[in-house]
Amino acid sequence: MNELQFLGAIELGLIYGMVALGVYLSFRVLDFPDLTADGSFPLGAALAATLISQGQDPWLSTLCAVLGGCVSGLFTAWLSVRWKILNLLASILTMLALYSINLRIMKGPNVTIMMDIKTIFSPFETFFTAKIAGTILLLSLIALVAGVSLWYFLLTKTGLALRATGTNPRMAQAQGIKTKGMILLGISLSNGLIALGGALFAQHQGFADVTIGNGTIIMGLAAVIIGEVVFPTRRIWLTLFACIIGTILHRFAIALALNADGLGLQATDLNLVTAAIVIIAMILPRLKEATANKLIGRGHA
Amino acid sequence: MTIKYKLIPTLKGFRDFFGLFYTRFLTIIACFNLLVSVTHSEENKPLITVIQIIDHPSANAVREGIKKSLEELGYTDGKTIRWIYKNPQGNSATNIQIAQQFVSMNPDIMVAIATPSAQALVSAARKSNIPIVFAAVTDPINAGLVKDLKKPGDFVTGVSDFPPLERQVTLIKKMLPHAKIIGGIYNPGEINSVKQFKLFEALAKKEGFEVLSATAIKTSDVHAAALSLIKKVDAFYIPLDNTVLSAMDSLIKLQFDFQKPIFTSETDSVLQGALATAGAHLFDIGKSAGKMVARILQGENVGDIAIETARVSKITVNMKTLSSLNLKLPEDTDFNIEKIGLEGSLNQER
Repeated sequence: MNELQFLGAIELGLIYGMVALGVYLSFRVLDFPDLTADGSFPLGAALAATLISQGQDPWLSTLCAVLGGCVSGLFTAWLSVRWKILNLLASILTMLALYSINLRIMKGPNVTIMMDIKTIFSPFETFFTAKIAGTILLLSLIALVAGVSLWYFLLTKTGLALRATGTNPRMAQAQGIKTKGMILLGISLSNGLIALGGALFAQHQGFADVTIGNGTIIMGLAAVIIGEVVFPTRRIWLTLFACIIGTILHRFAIALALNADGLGLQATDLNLVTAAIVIIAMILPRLKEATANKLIGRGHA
Repeated sequence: MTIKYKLIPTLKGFRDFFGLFYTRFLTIIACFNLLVSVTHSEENKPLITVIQIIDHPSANAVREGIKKSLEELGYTDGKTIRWIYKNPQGNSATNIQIAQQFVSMNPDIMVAIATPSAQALVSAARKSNIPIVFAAVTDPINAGLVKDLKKPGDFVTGVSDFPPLERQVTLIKKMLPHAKIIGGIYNPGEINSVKQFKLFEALAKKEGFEVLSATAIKTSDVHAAALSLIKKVDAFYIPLDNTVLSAMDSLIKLQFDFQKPIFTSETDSVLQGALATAGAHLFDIGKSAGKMVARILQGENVGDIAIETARVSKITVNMKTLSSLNLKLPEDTDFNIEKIGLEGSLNQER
């Protein structure tokens, strides 16, 4: 892995880190298996790319993308909470609908942000001699702001109620928490973050395509779990940080898999190699634990 | 469960974190680099890197065409050039990582097959000035790849796979003089096929046809989409659409069951059993792109090479299908007809 690939993986990791934060919020905090991500990620990209290519302010467009994501999440949660549709199915329905909506928004499957149009990255690209350094600076700032605000939010009373809803909904209800409202809030926030990831992706790459959402949820979930294994912690701020680090590590795993062609592997083996690397990364800490336990002579791993 | 949350992370928190950081995070990165240094090798032959968004028969045919024409021109992988091919298997983030990897390898030429890969490559290669040749992109201008088809100017050129639609409409008219309604099936998520179908629709309407369409988002939806149209239409037209082409076999079955001829945009599906096309051999599109790569290797300036479109003079007709549908070849000397599907003529080119 060379310098550019290393930095590129960090860039993508920071972009998809937003997805990981969103997935953490829905799957882990609220215990709500939400697959809307596969639709809200391209929704964010579609909104941002369409608005920006029409000459709108990039920051405003990004905000619109986030709001769009929130609305899609709200819809999923509403289907689930109000109409008692199984959460998994509700999110699948939203995801399906979003595919068509995205095509409508973009008036086709693909929108290009031409090179001379200003995105949120444009002013940062000239900060340093290397363009990528400026991009990473901005992406880190965004990740920091998103992470810290989410952290503070989860520490507030509302945040506590949200976490309680996920941990034990009955108990939460007994404590006077409006769990339905919490689910609505949490899932829309989660999809807002995911759409932010999509908006950043579109501006970073200069295009939005309706297919970029494929596998978003899997990437987000993998990142969250890798993060949890690499940084097993109960502290919220560390968990959020671990989500982003998890995404970057997942990207590193893919970069490594891409470099592994000296081992007689073919282009088509990529997914297999990536899976193998992630599996090894997940097993290693457990293995270490098990050996440590054996050495001390207590417990059974 | 009593967990105390503090607003400001304690020193212990930091220590925990950085302890973990060093022992795990850095070891993993170190392992990465170790493995990579083992697999890295330097050679002096010109390096050509190829990225193709997803494994698909039509995209693969283009790639094979590129490789073949390079071989014919004396550029053989391992002997006179180095050819590195990567495929993100449809994942858009991996697509970008491959593009970044290619740029960092500083190859002599980068080749992109299909629109998303071309877009990622151009985006990653900004300012690096590594020549890029794309293939199987229908609309390079709207995809933001080049500004001018005749004089691309920058570091990007390539071959567009836009099928000759006017000839296609004429072909349908000549072969089915009584047909009135044409049904089209395409994936609304594929930029190439949407563009083609819209134009085809306009042209066909001008010629007096009525055009109905059904969309299929997944390969598994294609059959149902065709069934929704089959009673209403006289013939089918299929654009260069990866999703629909993957389900071609199920359409061909319907073609025989309902006696509704299928016209496609490239020759491979005609070999499979569709009736006819005025379109190109995807392999040939690849070959044109391969020739471009060779021209750049010989020192030509990328910015001066005009974007090519597939030039086709032939009409390809599957004779077996023709006879089982009780149709006749158009008696027109304008058409240079290539008959396939006869015994012994299958797979004649490869």
